Amino acid sequence: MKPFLVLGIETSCDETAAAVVADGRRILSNVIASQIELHGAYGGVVPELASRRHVELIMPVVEEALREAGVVPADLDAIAATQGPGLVGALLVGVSFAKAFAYAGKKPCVGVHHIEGHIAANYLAHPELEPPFLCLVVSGGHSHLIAVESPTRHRVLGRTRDDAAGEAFDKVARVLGLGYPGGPVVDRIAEAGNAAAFRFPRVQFADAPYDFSFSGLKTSVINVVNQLRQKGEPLPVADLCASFQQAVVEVLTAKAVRAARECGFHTLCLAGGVASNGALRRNLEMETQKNGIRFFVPPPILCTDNAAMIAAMGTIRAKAGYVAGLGLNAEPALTMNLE
Amino acid sequence: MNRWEGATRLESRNESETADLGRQLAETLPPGSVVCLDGDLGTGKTVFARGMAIGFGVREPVTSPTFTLVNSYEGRLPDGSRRVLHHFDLYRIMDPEELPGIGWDEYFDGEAVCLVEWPGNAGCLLPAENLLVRIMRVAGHDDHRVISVATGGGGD
Repeated sequence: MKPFLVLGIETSCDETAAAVVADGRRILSNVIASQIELHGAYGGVVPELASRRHVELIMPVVEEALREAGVVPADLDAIAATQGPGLVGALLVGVSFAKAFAYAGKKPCVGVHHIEGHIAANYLAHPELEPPFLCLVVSGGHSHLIAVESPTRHRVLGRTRDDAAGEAFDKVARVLGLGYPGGPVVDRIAEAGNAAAFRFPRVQFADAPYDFSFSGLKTSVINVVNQLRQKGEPLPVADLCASFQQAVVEVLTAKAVRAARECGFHTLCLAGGVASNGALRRNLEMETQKNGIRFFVPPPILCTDNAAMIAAMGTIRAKAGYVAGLGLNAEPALTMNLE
Repeated sequence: MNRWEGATRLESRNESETADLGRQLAETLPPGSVVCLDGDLGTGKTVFARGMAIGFGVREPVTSPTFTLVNSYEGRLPDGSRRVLHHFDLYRIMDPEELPGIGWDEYFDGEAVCLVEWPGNAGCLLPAENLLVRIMRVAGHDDHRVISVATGGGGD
């Protein structure tokens, strides 16, 4: 039987990405603009943020995705694009392109929530995975604890009240002069540090046990750095990284495991860019094992923003009948559950 | 002329006082106001923004816009009128030329209140008439802040 083929498009932030996925589980291609050699063709480094760049990159990226997959537009069963949340100008490029592409080929067009896409990366990495499960989505822009009740039903159990987890990594890295992005470099340097050297706060909310807060943690690290600098003492960078990372990892792990136990989930998935963090993976593996919870995490290439995850979620939505008309619009503050 | 001459100088001893100062400021702002919010990482800019949102009757949580560059909220004032707040964070903007790409001009419609963190990164694209709020740490006190508010605008 011919597989169900979906072209996914992701332009919610910095990456221009396109991918083709078969039956919502098998990746035929997964192209991310920052990885292909466009610098020469486009005269310089691909800058962050400008939606103008998405406009320039979207055609070559989609063509590359179709070519790698060995698919022509007529073979496709649906086109899926990230509808939100994200930067409105950036989202509009992907949504408008998807609508035009779908209209020209007389194919259904589907809008996908970016975070639901991150969750769906787990379906690509683990073909045996089926809802219900709990998913911890942590990235530069998001920190959510989500109950996946069915392939199309997502319920937010907890979210950050201030900074996202990945953002805290970036900002702490900046204060320590470690550069951007902060996640990988803090992760690496922390390996040589003592995670118990500094006791940074782990924030709990009495009224919302699954909500996160990382702003106060960031400020605590900055306070310690300022105090050390005022005294003229050298910064124990590795210890600071390890202690900060330990605080983030402990909070994320404790809340995810607690939510899984209290809400009766036997499976926990991790998703989003911060899912590449080694300490977080190890800690979650250990704690889920102790509690008899199955643990899944996608490989790093599917944790970062990509379009294969959008195609995977788009497949679920297309098959469930959530097909958008030409009125599909970018929604920078899109909420979950597009049902 | 130095913009800080005649500036209002306020003190905050903790996060909730910082938020409350934000709320009080919001209650004095007419539609279309532009507020620049300056201060180092971890001084409480987002806390101040959250207080402003409360002053505008915004009910949803105010989270950091660092990743999305701008978050928009709609609140209701006690008299029932709507108030839109656009909360920008230009921390990741390297060049003002990137701003048209996010639809920068369209947010300044004369009605919505625009709050801009890291305003220096907007260069000359910042509207000339604005209110400048600067949050500074107090040496020796982790939680204390001095918050200065300068009116006028059009360059220091």
